Amino acid sequence: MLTLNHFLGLSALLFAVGLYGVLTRRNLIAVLISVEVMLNAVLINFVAFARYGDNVQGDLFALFIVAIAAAEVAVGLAIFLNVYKHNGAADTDVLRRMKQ
Amino acid sequence: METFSPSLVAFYLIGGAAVLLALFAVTAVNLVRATLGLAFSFFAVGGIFWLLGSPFLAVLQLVVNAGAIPIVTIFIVMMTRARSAKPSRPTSAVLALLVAIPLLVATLLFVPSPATGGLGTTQVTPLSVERLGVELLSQRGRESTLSDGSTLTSEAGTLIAFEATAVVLLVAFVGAILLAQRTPVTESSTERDTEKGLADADA
Repeated sequence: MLTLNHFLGLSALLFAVGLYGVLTRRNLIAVLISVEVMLNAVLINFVAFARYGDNVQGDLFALFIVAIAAAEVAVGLAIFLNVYKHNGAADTDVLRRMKQ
Repeated sequence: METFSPSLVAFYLIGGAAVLLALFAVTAVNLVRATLGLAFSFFAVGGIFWLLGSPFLAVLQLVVNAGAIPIVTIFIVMMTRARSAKPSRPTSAVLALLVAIPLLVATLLFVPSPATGGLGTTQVTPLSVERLGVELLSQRGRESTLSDGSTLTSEAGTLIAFEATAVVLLVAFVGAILLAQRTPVTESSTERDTEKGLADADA
């Protein structure tokens, strides 16, 4: 039987995968991709709790997360373009120089 | 004894695909391939939403997360010729594993094993698109009549949040366009443009 725990386990796995990506990747787009994976893990959690408890708030939260994530990707990619134009590369090492 | 239901088989197939594709997206050196891996991982997560009885979110996941976001990302990758990512440093990979694996283990410890029951022994309650829409677009406590004649009292009341999200999206997209502009509009550049326009008019 398919239980809530299956979905929570899957969500935890996806979150760990995304976290690994955020910590290891050096390219900004790759970091953004990893963040998306983590966001998706959270989405699964929200929808799983909502459907097993039959309350609609979790689904609504998931809906809003999808909308805000779209906005986040748009702004993130625009920032990436700017960094790329400014430095000719878009690695996290380049951003480290912004401190100076 | 646990019965081996079709939905359980579907869950392991789709969930396994989602995790493996996410791993590929997170480790692939070629950024186009990583984005494609992300797209298919999102696709699989859409299937998970379907299994959870939320068809609207499944379709939304396919359209927005598996459709629009990878396309925009690939577009940016193509525009910048940043096709391949630098391979990660071994030290940071070890450090990331040292953070991610304990986090995973700690999280799974709080999830009781499916075999012993624990939290999730109840059934999934499917959510109709109509109910989701009524809850999304009405104020809290307002009664609405559904198409089958039953009345539904809204318990979420996210109408204002919905409108606010629309504004946030608009601001984000305008901001993204401004940020990504090739030449930022400054006073001196507009002055130069007008002078150039006047010179053209004289000639």
